[in-house]
Amino acid sequence: MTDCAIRTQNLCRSFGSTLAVDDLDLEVPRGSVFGFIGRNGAGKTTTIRMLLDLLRPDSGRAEVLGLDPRERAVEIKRRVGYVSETPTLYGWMTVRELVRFTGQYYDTWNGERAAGLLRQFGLDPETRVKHLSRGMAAQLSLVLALGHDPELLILDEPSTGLDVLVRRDFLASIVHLIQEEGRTVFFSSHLVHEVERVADRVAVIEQGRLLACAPVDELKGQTKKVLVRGVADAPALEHIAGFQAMEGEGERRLVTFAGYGPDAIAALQATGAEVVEVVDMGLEETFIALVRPHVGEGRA
Amino acid sequence: MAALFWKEWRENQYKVGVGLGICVILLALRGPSDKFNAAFADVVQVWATAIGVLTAGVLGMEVVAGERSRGTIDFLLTRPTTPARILGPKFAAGAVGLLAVVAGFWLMVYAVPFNSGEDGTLANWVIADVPWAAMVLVWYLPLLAAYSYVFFASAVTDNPAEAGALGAILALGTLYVYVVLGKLIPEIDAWGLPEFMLGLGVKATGSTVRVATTWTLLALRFALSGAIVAATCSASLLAFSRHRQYSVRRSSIVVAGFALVAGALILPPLLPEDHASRSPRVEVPLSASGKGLLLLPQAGEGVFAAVTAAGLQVFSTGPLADWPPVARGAVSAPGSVEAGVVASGRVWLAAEDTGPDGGIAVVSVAVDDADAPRVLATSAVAGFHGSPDIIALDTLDDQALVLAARDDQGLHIAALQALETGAVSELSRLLVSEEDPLDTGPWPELEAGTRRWSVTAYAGCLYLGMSRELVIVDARDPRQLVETSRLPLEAPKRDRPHGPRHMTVANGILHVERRWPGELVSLDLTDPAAPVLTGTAHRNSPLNGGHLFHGLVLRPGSSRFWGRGMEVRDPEDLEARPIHVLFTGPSERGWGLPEGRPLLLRDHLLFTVKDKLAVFHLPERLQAAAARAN
Repeated sequence: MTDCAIRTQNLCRSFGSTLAVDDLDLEVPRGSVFGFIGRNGAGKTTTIRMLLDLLRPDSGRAEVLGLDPRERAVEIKRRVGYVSETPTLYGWMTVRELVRFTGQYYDTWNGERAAGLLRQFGLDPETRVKHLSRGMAAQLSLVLALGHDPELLILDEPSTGLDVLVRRDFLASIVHLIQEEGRTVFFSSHLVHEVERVADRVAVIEQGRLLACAPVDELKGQTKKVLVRGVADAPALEHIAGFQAMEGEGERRLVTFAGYGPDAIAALQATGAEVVEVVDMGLEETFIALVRPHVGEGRA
Repeated sequence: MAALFWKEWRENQYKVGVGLGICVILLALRGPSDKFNAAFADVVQVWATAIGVLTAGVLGMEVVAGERSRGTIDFLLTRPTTPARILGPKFAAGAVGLLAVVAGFWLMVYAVPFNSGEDGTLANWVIADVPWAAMVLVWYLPLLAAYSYVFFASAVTDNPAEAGALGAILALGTLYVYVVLGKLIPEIDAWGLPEFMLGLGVKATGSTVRVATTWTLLALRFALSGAIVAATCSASLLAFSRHRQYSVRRSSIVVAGFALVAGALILPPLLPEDHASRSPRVEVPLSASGKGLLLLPQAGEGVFAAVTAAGLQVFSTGPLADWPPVARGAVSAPGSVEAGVVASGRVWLAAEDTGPDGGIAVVSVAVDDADAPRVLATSAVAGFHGSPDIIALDTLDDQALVLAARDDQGLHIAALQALETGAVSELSRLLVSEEDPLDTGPWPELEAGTRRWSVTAYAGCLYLGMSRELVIVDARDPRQLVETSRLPLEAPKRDRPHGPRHMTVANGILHVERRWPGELVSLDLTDPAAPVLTGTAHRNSPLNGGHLFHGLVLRPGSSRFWGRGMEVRDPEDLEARPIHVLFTGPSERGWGLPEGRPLLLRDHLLFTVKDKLAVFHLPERLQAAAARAN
């Protein structure tokens, strides 16, 4: 049995001349809460759709729970729960009808669990789905994705379009689920601070390419801002490995390093600069630091 | 699968409900309103087509494309199920919905009898003859095929409107391709597939229903619909499995639609004009409107004459039976010639409007010399009320002719003795009258001059095909014509004026056209004065607008949607497809139905149509059928 819930190798998919996913190698350990972050249009949804055999890759391969989506899609879907970016449900059904309809697709459907989740989210089973708010619809989607006790939960931008309070509640529900043993959660988002709150590992994708894949803390540790004094111009620092950018004017400057380490400090000091302070960065800054150099690059 | 069927059925409910609601409204209107009921009887097939096609389209176009456009398709695709288990229940739910509407429509038709209005006579007795379930099936199967086309279109597009348009284009395109192939390859045309699938015409008379409800055709229709459904469903599954975001651009659909219409307009003239076996081998212009053909063996081998309104034109095929025929002599006759017959070695012509009072003249023509036919004598036949219309001129025996002419009083049957001088003397006369509902109908001006009756002679007896009855006259003694019996043919029904009732004798059996329902009545003439009904052909009359001659049926074909054709059928095997298609072509070619007696000459069929003589070569199969019938 593989230790990865999801693994992709050289996964590629293009739409016309646009390369949506470019040679993607990804490994999502079982039992992890994995954040898949990237800007809008970075290739997150395309990757997820290939994992669920909603799209066929042009080349490369994917494995979900050790199974190839192209050959064992039904088995994968039996063991995976999925909430799409904008869950579109059958509005004419009542919540109860939709839950029952969904349940008939699964041998392992846990009606009590679904009912419990409905109660937990305060969803009235007799309400028509079209009368639910966006937040309630998202919660209902989560119920439908969890009713069969999936080993892997895939959430594609689950909190898009939700207001701040609802988003927080929604994430809280996910956190609650994470606590259940053995379950893997793979969720994509462009809201990095959300991911930071709940994920223990993240992958950063930009223009279809994987930029980083590491535990959250490790990734955050790799990128630092260094407050320096007496530095010359940015070009003087460009030879230093991991140098990203320099901000500010005058005597004190803020230098950003990706892949920060003692070598960077030494190299910085070698230019004659004095290191005043090393500042830890949040995931969002790390993400920006990773992605910014690639913005504006061609994609085809 | 049951869950998805339930979901689909629930989503289709309102569409099926609307379809059935229309049926209920029609039913409600039919009950109290005789006027609506009578009008509905005439357009029931239009309603059936409109409701059926709309239902099939609406149910089919939403199936997958609707889910794609709403975004709900991902909900299904992310469930642990296969494409077949998604498409299967979806197709089934739509098919059941369509069946419900078709069945409901025909329940509504059968629930209230058609009332022709005036005398309260039921006019839907023919429809009642066809079991409701058979009628439902006849209509359902082609509609199911249409639905499956739209279903396929829906499976490959993401917009229901595009799916509807694409489905229509595909369905019409298939038909179009078939027609084009039929033009190029006659064998394909001979399959007559559109006839099996689209023979849906259901007048209140139920005429065409009988075509479709024969078991053979129903089985063929079932097989053909099944094949289309299997093909479209397989294609849907393939497309749905492999191209899940396949999307047809709207511009492509518009272009395809235009291409289809343009192709239908442009392509036919570019195709071979007519296949050789379907074209008249020869067309010969006549001096006036043709009224029939007569074989003149006494004038030589291969000599025949065309009776025209102006007189007689003699032709011969030549010693080598070569075509076109060689024009020989001609002779003109007074008035307007309407009929001709050969007796006593002469040709006898009957002409109208020959005097100041508008009587009938019988002209005898000597044809011993094909190059110089000459008029021997002209005799006036009087005793008519007003201007008579000649219905027929025929022979009772070699010395006696019979002239049938209609005037205000009825049908005059005059037995005429052919004298050696070429004159005729009247031996006896019988006036046959019949209350003709058309005489009091709303079309008096159209009625004027309409020849609706026909007369056939066999073994000294006459069979008069009147408006509603077959009248049998014993003329074995020409001096004493006796009406022996009458056989009712039609239910009283007002309708448009129509052409003469067609009759023919083959193998001692008289075949008579019955218009409501359209079918053939067969009478055994072992005792010619007392024919015995042997059966009716339960199908659309092959004589519906056609001709019976030499035991063959000649009728306009309708399997080509851009033109008209003429096909030959075997009345002994009415279940069969046309034996042969004589010609097809654009209607502007001016071909119509043959006038008067056609002629079988060697391996050719000849008839006059308008002011032309057309000669067709007959294939062996047709010759064999003609020989068998004779």
